[in-house]
Parts: sequence; C-alpha cells; structure tokens
Amino acid sequence: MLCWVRVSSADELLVIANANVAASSLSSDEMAAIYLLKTTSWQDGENIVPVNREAASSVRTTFSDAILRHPPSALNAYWNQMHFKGKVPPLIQESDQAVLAFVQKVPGAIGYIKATLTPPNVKILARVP
Amino acid sequence: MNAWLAQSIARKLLASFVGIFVVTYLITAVFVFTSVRSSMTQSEADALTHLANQEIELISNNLQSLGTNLHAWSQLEVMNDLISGDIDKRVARTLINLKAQYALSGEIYAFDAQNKLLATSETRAISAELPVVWRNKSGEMVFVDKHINPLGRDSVVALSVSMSASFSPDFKIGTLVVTLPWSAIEKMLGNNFQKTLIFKDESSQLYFDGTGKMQLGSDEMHALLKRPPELSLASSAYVIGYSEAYHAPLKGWHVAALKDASLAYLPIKTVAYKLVILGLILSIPFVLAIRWLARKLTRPVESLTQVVSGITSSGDLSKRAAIEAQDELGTLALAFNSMAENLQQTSQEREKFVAELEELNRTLERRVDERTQALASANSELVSVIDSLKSTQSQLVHSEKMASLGQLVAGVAHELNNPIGFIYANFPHLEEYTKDLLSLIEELRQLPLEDAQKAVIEQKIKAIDLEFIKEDTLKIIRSGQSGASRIKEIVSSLRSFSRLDEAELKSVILEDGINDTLAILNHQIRNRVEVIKDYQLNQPVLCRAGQINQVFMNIIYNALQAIDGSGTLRISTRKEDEFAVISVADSGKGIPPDVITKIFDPFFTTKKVGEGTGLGLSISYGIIESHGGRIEVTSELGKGTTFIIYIPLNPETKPSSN
Repeated sequence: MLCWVRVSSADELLVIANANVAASSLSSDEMAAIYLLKTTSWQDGENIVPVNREAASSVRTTFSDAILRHPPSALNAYWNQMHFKGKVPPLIQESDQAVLAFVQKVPGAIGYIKATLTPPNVKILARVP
Repeated sequence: MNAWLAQSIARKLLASFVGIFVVTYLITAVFVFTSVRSSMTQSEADALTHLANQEIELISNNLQSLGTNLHAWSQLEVMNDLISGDIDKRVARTLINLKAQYALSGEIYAFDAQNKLLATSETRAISAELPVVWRNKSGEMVFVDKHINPLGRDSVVALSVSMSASFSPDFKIGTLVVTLPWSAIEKMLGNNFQKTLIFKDESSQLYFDGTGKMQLGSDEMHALLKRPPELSLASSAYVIGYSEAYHAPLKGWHVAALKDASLAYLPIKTVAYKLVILGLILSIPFVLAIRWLARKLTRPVESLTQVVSGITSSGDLSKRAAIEAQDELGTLALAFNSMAENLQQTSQEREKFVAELEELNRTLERRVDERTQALASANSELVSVIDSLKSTQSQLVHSEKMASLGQLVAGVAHELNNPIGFIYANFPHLEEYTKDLLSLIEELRQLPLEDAQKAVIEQKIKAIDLEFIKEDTLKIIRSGQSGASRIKEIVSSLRSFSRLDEAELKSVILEDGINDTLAILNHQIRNRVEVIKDYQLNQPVLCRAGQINQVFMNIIYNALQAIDGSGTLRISTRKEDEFAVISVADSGKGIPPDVITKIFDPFFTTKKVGEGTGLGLSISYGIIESHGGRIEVTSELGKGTTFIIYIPLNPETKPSSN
C-alpha cells in the first residue's frame, strides 16, 4: 500500500503527472488544453496520457468545473467527436488509487486526485483550485 | 466349334460380329463402370471433402470469431487497468461479463506486462504466472494448439494476444488469453462426429478420432497423409474427403471425413446390374440384325454355290446363277454365268471333237482289221503253199528214195531167189540121203565080221560118236531147212514189198501186205510183242499195193518202236461203208498231246538225229491222201496209240494223179 500524506483541504485536487514528465507546473489553460486534446505532447516530445475519473464522480465534477469550465455532458459529446477524429479521449479510472497507480506507471501520464494525501513518485503540477 | 464355324460364312460373320459386340460392349461397360466408379468416388470424395471443409471451416470460423472477439477485448479501454494492477477489479468483472455475454465455453485470462495473472473469467481465485505455452512475443495473435490447460485440467486450444495501451501502441500492458475446450470443438463436428478424423502434418497419431476405434500404425498414418480418396483403415475400406488446408489459425490441420466404401459403392452395384441387363437387351436385336445381314449377304453366295455344285454333280453346264443385285456378288454371278457359257461352248466343241476322233478311230480299227484279215489270209495261203511244197518235196524225195531202194531190193531179192531156191529144194534130198547113209551104217554094223574088225569099227564108231552124229545130223538138216525156208520167205516179202514200180492200180488183199510187213519186222516182234490179228475185210482192194505196203511198214514199225519191252500189237481190218479200214493199235507209251498235231509234218521226228528221217508218217499221209483216203490217230499217254487208215474200196471216185 502507498503512504498517503495529508497536504490540503478536502475539496482540493492535486494534478499529478508521471515522474519523468518534463514539466514542473501547469496553468489551468495548459491543463484544459491537455484534457481537451489540443496539447498532445510534453515539451520533450513525450505523448501526454490524460486520465479522467468516471462521469459520476465528484472529483471529476470539481475538476471539470474548475479547469475545463464545461458541463460533463458537453464534454462527453466533445470527446466522442474527438474519438471519431482519431484522438484518444482521457482514460477513465474509477478511484484515486487507480489514478495514482496509473500515473505512477505510465510515462507521460497526467491525472488528478483528491489532495488529502501527498502521493509518492509523481510530480504535482498544480493544485485545483 | 471350329468345324461348326467352318461350315458357313454366315456363322463366321455371326461369330465375328458377336465377338466384336461382346468385346466392344465389355470394354464400354468396363469403361463406363470404372468411369462411374471413379466419378462416384470422386463425387463421394468431393462431398466428403466439402463436409470436411465445412467442419474445419466451422472450427476455423469459430476460432476466427473468437480471435476477432479476443482482439476486440484486448483493445477495451478497461484493459488499461492492467497497468495499475486492476486495483478496481474492473478487468475481472469485464472478463466475467464477457464470458457470460458471449456464452463462452472456455475461460479468459488477463496477465500484466510482468506476466502476472491479474484477472480471469473464472470465479475462483488463482494466482499464477503466464504459462510458457501461452506467451506471445509477437504482436500478432497466436493460436495455441490442443494442450492441457495449465491453469485447469481439461484439454483446450487457446488464443493468446499481447495487449498495448489504448493511448500508445508501444506501451505493453500485458497478455490476454482465451481458451476453448476440446469438447467444444468436438461438439462443433456435430452429427458427422463419428465419421471424422483430425490429424496434423507433423503428427504421427490421430489428433481426433471420431470413430473411436482407429488404432493406426505408422504405415496407415503415412498413407493417410498422402490424402488418397480411397483407403483401408483398421481393416475397413473407406472413401475419404480431406479438408483443404487454407484455414489460417488451424495451420497443419486436416479434417478427414470418412464413409464406408460398401455404403458409398452401393449405387454402383445397381449400375453394374443395369449394365449387364442393358448388354443382354442390346445383344438380342444386335444378334438378330447380324443374322439377318449374314443371311442376306450369304444367300446369293449360297444360290451361286448351289448352281456350281449342281453343275459339278450333274455336269449340266446349261444352269445359270440368278443375279439378285448389282453388288459384288451380282458381278460374281454374272462372271460365273459367262464362264459357264464359255465352258458349255468349249465342252460342246470338245464332245464334237471326241465324237469325230472316235469315228476316225473306228474307221482306223476297221481298216486295220481288214488289213490284218487280208494279211492273215495271205499268210495262211502262204503257209498252206509252203506245206504243200514241203509235202510235195518230201514225197518227191521219198518216192525217189523208195524207187531206188525198191529197185535195189527187187534186184537183191531176185538175185537171192535162185540160190535160196536151190538150197531149199535140195534139203529134202539131203535128208533122204543122210537117212540112207545112216541106215547103211547100221546094216554094216550088223554084218558078221571078225571081232578085230568089228572092234576097230566099233572103236571108230565110238570115236566119232555115231549116235550123236545120227541125231545131230538130222537136226542140222532140219535147221538148215528151216533157215532156208525163212530166207525164202524174206525174199518173197522183199519182192512183194518192193513192188514200188507197181504204180498201176492192182486188186490186192491188204492182209497179205500186212503179213509181209510183219514178216519183215519179225526180228523186232519175236519174243517181245504179241501180235493179235483180227482180219475181217478179206477182199481185194484196188490200190497201189507197194505204196500201201510202205504205209503199213511205217505205221507198224512206229508202233513197235513205241513199245518198250513186251507189249501187244493189235491189227484189225474191216469194211466200213465204201472204205477198207485198217486199225493198228499198240500198247506203247503214247504220243504227248502237244506233239500229236505235228506227227504228219514232214521232217518232224522224236528220234535222235540219224535214226529217223521224219518222213515216214508224212509220206504215209501223202500216199493215203492220194488214194482218196485218210489217216486218223488217237493216243493216250502210257496206254498206247491207235492209227486208223481209211482206203476207199472203189478208188475210181477219186482218180489218182500220182
């Protein structure tokens, strides 16, 4: 089991990325561009693998409201459209542990989790809000 | 059989055509039968191939669709959870759902990139590594052939695919394996299950034995791998169809669909029966047609043959063959007719010539006969002329000889006649004188004389043996008298015999002549031959006595010669009509029949050279003939010969020319 460290309030989200990602922080716009599939690679050329939560989760609602600024239904329609254009929509993971484990293991992966713990072996690129 | 065939062309034709028909039909039937059989085999094999293809296709399709499904499953987003160790058990749930949804008879196993089993469709908890047999280093899907499930117990086939993250093809997230139990594949073979074999190229054993009873040796496996349409397996014959190996996942698989040969070839037996019946049915009109054709062909030949044999047997060349058609046989009949006509003409000409020849021959024969007869008559004339010449010559010679002899004998006899007359006449006187002298001597002895004188006289008488002289002198005188008498007799005979010059006809007593002859020949008769005389004629016959005596001489002499030792000579005379008949029969050796016709020929003799002239009988014949008489002779060998002489009593009827 991972060691979780409490660092923030209950509603705060941490945007985490794989340790090898060539970036130390991201602005909200940059994150929005990543999740809306407009930016697909890091500065060093590594593909970005965004990870989303399931539609019903409160974390995703929070993240969508804060960063993407669109309702989840509109975003679903957008990502379906993008899917048909050949772009891979953000992957879905159904728990913070799953997101964390995924981001830890997949190079170029980026995800968000509740900021109740300090996740190991990932880069924290931003805090939302 | 050959003899039966040799009798008729029609039979030969029939036999040939039936033979051709049988051979042709047999070849056709065999060809049809084998064609049907091979096409049946082919079609059965094709049907079975189709079946096998269907089966392998079914399996293949199942596996392919399973593969397609597996491929789809491997690209499910949820598989990305393998990266995170399936913390949320989403993959496991998904696999269970998939198994239920697709009604899979096998299981699905998901392994992460570290080959750790993370999720399974099985409900039990398994902790395992990815088995080596399922490992898949290539990017493609791998078909794992029949094997024992390493995570279970049953036989399965498996499909294995390595998974990449949905976001990055290069990111390996693990291996997904789906198994299919072998029982499911068996189930796919469905109803044909029991007649299906599955084998692989490299395998030395059956992969699947639907019949359950095939214990195939390596030879049979080897034969099976060559995929023949007919094969005997486990001592049963089968027709077999093989799948064509183009089914990608089942590389090297062969499905063989079997059918019992006896079952497969059941229809061909019907075909065979039908072929036999068809042959029999076809043969009836064929044979009838050939018979009809053969008869039609041979009828003109037969009629021609009949005409020919009719001509041959009867020789009637006027017969003609009937011309029934304008074909080759018609031409033959035409040619034969013209030949017969030529023959007829030739034959007629020949007969004409033969008749002419025969006529010529007859003429020739007649002429030859005529000539022969003329020659024969000329010849007989010549012979008779020669005979008469010979006879004349011999008679001339004989008469000349006899004339000389007669003169000689007559001279001698005459000269002897006088002296013998003296001698004969003096003997009585000599006898008388001698008796006187002898009686004188007796008287002288009786005279009284002195004793001395008497003694001297007596002595002298004794010395001269007077008694003997007395007796002997008388004997001598008588003997001399007798001899003189015989000489007188012979001379008398000679005289009468040699009256050859007495050519004038005289009436003589023939018996005298005979007696004279016998007297001359007395030296041959005496003490040897008994002469029996039977004279009944006893009358004078007018004849030339000397010649007749000569005849008697010849015949009696011959008769005496014929008698060897003692014998009898019978001489008889008699009167018969106008002839005096003298018969002289001896008891001699007889005359051989081949000689008797020649005895009157001149110069014919059986005596040695110098003993006889061969003229005697010839002269006799001539003499008697000149008297108008004849001589007959009969003879029997060993018993004797009889000569009978006929002399006419009245010779005036045939005047003598001699």
